[in-house]
Amino acid sequence: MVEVTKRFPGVLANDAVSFEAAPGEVHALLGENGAGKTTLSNILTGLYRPDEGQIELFGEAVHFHSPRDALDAGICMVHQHFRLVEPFTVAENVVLGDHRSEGKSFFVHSPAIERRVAELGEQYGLGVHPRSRIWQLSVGEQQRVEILKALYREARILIMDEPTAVLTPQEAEALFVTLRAMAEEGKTVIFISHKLHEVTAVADRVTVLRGGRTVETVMASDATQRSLAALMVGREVDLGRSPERKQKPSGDVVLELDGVRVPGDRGGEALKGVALVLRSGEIVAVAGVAGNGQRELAETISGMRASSAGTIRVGARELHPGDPRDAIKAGVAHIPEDRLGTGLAPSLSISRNAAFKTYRTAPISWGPFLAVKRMAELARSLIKRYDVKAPGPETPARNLSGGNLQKLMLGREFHGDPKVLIAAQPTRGLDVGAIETVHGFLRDAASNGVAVLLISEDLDEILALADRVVVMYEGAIVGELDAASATVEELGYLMAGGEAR
Amino acid sequence: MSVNDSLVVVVLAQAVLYGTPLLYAALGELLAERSGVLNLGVEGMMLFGAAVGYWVTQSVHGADAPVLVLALVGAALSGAAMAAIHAFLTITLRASQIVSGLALTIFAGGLGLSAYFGAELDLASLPVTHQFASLDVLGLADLPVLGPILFDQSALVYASWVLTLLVAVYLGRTRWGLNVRAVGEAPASADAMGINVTRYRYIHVLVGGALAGIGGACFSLSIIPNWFAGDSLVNGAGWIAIALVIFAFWRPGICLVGAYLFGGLSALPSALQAHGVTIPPEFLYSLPYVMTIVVLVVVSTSLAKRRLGAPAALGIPYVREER
Amino acid sequence: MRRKYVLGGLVLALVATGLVLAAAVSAKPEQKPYKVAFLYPAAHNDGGWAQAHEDGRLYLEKKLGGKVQTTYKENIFSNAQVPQIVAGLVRQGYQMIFGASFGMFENGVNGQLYKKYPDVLFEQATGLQIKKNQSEYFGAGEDTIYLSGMAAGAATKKGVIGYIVPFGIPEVVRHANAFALGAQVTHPGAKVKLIWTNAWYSPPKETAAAANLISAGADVLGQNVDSPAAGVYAEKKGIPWVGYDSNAQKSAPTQWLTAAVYNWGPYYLRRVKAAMNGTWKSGFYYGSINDGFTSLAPYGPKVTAKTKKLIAAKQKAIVSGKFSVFQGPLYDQKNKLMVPAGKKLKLLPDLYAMQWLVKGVVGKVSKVFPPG
Repeated sequence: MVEVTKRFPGVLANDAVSFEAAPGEVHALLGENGAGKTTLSNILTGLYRPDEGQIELFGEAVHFHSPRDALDAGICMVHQHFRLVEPFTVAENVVLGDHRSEGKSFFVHSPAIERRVAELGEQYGLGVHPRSRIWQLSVGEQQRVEILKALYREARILIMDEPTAVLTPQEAEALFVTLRAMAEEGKTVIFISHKLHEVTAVADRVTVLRGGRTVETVMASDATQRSLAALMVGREVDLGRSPERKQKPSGDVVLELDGVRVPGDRGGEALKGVALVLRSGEIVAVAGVAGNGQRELAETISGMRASSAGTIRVGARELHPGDPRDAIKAGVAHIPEDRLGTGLAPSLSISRNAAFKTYRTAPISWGPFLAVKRMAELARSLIKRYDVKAPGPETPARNLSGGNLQKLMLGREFHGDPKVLIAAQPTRGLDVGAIETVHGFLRDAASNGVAVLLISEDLDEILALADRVVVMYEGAIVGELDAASATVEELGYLMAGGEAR
Repeated sequence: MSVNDSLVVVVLAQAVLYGTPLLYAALGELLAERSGVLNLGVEGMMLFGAAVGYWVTQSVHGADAPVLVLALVGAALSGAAMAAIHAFLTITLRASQIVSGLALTIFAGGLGLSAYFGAELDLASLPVTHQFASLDVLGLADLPVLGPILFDQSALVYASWVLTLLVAVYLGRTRWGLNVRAVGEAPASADAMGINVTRYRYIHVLVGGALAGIGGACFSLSIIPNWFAGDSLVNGAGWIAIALVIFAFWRPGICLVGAYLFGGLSALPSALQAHGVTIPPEFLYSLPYVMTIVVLVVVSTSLAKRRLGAPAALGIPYVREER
Repeated sequence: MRRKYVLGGLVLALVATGLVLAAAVSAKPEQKPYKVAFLYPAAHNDGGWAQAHEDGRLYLEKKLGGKVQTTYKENIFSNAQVPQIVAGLVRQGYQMIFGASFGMFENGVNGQLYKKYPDVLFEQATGLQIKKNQSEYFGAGEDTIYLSGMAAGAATKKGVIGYIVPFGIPEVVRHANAFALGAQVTHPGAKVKLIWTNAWYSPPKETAAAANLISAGADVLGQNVDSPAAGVYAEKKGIPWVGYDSNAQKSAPTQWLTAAVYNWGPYYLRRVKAAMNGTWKSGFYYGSINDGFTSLAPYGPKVTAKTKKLIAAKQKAIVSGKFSVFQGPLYDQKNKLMVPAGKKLKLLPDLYAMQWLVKGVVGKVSKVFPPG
């Protein structure tokens, strides 16, 4: 790619980005969220057109007008959100849109396609049954289908966008083996990630992006995690484990779950009798592959979801199931996964959002009326105290960046002096600076005696912050480890449904 | 009285007759919905197709067969022209499919374009010149029971069977059909795999409109070969066709069965009266509509929605560069 | 400030002058036309009831020329629409409004319209509410329907005639009975099978009814509904057909027998003229063959000379008063004597409240009334 520039209204997503990848290599694109990785890959696959610059493929300039052009040129991409058709079978997904070989014929010859898919799966260790329907597959299996699609099409270049976000460490290892095998056959794999250890583990070369520009391309063998992080962030970053906190867990039980069962959205049970105890001043992390009940756990405690059995106690008080107001009154604060949807009202101002939890009582409300000035004061104080970068309290929440939104959320939740704080994926999508801030807040909260329940898919984060780690698998807690002695391998083993040792 | 004059045979034969326009319209709507576009303009497109079809038989002179084929072409084109408005509004401009469809029904319907067209050309006062007559292709029309039901029908009926088969094979067995289903289920995925979402949606909305036009022409060229002012000719068949698609779980084969079921329900009240069965006719006349409501209520429960196979992207405009 | 007032005054003066001038110009034509509106329950060209009224409106326009200005509002499927339409017409200065369907100015809010607009003259077809500024008009359809029933009776071989009927209101019951009685004159013992469509105008239902009547053994069809759809179907099947309320021979050129039709034009002309010269008085008009309000449409090719002669004789008896359609002895469906010999049913209250069917009619009175 040469000097590729892409602008969106108000945003320069890619500013003269250049890099080159050779056949037979795994080339990593490393950068923080918002560094322009995804935009770049969308240009490569013909979804967007560059405003300036061009793509050269095997020495020839190419112009993609649609994804089909890119596919025809042999470029396949595995998106972060899979591009699969859920009700279709694996074979149907693989052949979809293909207009060569079996796909060329007017009628779809399923047996021939299924045979080929099975062969490819065996060859690359991507075992999925060709006749399974996508919705029956696990996330990891779905990713294999995406890779099978590329293999079936005999793609020369495979782009993988954040492929490990949905995988257990073991699954990620297996994926790396597959990717290396593909590279050895002379294919090019472009591996997009912001996780340093993965990049050093799988890539031959690494191109670092920052703020929409290429910073440097380095040989992976010459780089360390520390050097890459510095390139990515633009300054030295401390990646080590947290310093020991001053205050040890006090031992008072603040939150207690006993035999909590919750029906799932898709039938069946999302939580199958969860028991959990949180003491004041400790951070307990919930680890698990996405979709194993973590979100439901957070929503149930905060009252957004009603349990069908079991009890939830905050202190001595038993919460009414499915009553968020009761949970708030009892002192439960919740930072939801989906900040702009569940956490905040995007089109309302910061001051309104700041008053969401306190507007029913004085001093924010005055009988049936709202004290607008006091709301603005509250917002101003939150903005100042939590370092939210915003023009003023009347700015609509949607104009804030992810990090600033999260700070606003944290500020609002802390404001009510909670006893329990549930933080679901609090750093997802944030840049390194904001992650540091959020981590700092969570540690402070624990030091102040709040019981923190951290739900995260980032094992590094969990190990850096938590005192204890519980692992969820298929709606149940399958293991509990002391964070100080836990290892990534051990957690990964439990996350995949293994028995605790 | 022979068995072929018995109530059951008479009702079943009429079920096929009255079900045929529903079948054409429902197959058309099914194709559009499978590509992810809900078109509530079926009633309007049917009525306009009926008007244009009848007008062609009045203005073209010649033998029955070519004139009628031409009338069907006219009806199909006029239905497709109406659908093109819907396609442009909803696919290109990404307007609400529900609002656009309803507007289309009102615009093309009994108080709009069709009525104007019919009144301007004074279609209502023109006597019928060409119509689809019963065609006894295999010489089986006198077969007991099955004869009048299946073999004493017009070419439109026989053609609808072929069409049902074609649509089923198209969707289930062909590459294009696979692509259409992908576009209706997951347009972003289809787009990423190089399928032109816009083109597929346009084509299927237009074909759907054409079939609705032909469905309308079934009324004005076969069932009630005439033009009638207002919307009384089609009389809600378009709405029933839309419900039928849901009832059929978006499957062409079940569409055929459902069309005949609804067709039978609309023929039932007068048939029962004629044969001396005294169930209050007002109850019977409301049956197709009651059934429609029941179908809509049943399928709108969340459980049914997930299990029935509604195209996941139905009703949702596709935007590629969303940030 | 002051300049602004001066300017404002100037503008006002200018506008006022313009208005006066405009009024002077528009007052010039010798006389403002009298404004008359018609409300139709279906399209003006429906080939049935509404079309007959439309013919009457055109007759009125032809006779009075520029002295009247008329308009119509069509497709009034529900009488609930009427108050709003009337309000609009009154705003536009219409002084006289004819409602061509049952219930348009009767029952509920509609029944209060005469009070709300005391300066407007209302005339309603087929109803019963008579007020200072509201008249009712209709005609003895039963007489001509009886005669058309004679044509049907003469045409049937099997003695089974299908009759398609809209709603089970007295008007329709009366007409169905008259049709059956007429048919039994030319074909003694003839059965008349009813199918209720629950709609004044519904081609699909009427077509289905025609098909089912034929399949149930009827070899002649008649109707009290408004569209010619049954005729179109009858023509296709070679079944003789008696229409209703408009001459629809072109819908069934070979199978057309005749139809009882109404000649609304002369009534409209008379009433509008009276309204214009101030002699209009409210009342109940029930037209008849005598004054040309009701008549039989021209016969089709299937009506024999013998039948025509029989009908002509009967018509003469009706006109002279020697015969009444509903004179005894009349029996109901269960052969119970309802009207003894020598007696006859009166229009009011008997015929306007009729809810029983005569002997030989097969079917029950539908309990559904027109949507109000």
